[in-house]
Amino acid sequence: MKRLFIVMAVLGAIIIVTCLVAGASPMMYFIFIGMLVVIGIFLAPLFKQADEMLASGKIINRDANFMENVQRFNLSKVSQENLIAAMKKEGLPFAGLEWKTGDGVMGFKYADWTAKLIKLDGDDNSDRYEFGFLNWQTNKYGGSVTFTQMNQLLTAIEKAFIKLDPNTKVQTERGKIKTKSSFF
Amino acid sequence: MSPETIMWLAIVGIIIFILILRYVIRRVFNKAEDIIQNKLAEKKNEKFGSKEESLSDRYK
Repeated sequence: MKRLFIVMAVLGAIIIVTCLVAGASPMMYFIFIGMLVVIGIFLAPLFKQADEMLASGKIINRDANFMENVQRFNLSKVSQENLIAAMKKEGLPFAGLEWKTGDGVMGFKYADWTAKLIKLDGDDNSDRYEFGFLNWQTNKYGGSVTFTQMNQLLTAIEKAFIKLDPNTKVQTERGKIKTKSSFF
Repeated sequence: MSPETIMWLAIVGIIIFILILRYVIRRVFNKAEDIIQNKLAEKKNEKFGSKEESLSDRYK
């Protein structure tokens, strides 16, 4: 919410300065500030939800483009049943998330994105898993609309791995991106 | 064809043309951005490698 207030305050200041320079009538001030307030009211629940999730540890602060990264986890041997149980304890699947499990593969689907957790070849003492988002929809500014839920899934998976093996190592690499453009 | 029909056909034609042009421009820019970003990421990975870190450090 603090971020929203800062953005709104900056935009409000820009509007007032612009109106002052342009010599706008009081009615124009009222219309522009009113529009800003309405936008703030619409955005407030989204920011509030993200703040609550951050406070409760369901998400953590990540880079804006974290969904472009592929994460490779290296941990001690763990059975798929134990991994699924640990992920369930971390709140998966959350509302709206489809979760399919296969032999060494888990697929996740939310409103406008999909993700996959794949078991890679490990050695006798360790298991390796790779997690990445396969596709997601962005708005015209390039950001994902449901990035909070993407963050929530990744956080739950990471926490499950830490619970199973506190010494889990992770490698992060940027995946190859292929953007599809929509006609409309 | 009446002038009115021609006018409406012209308006629809212009709208379709703008949509196609918009789509082509977006596609070209998106492709170019993808190529540049992927190349940069490849170079970065080659140069620095992806270092392994402790996962629990993210939650400290």
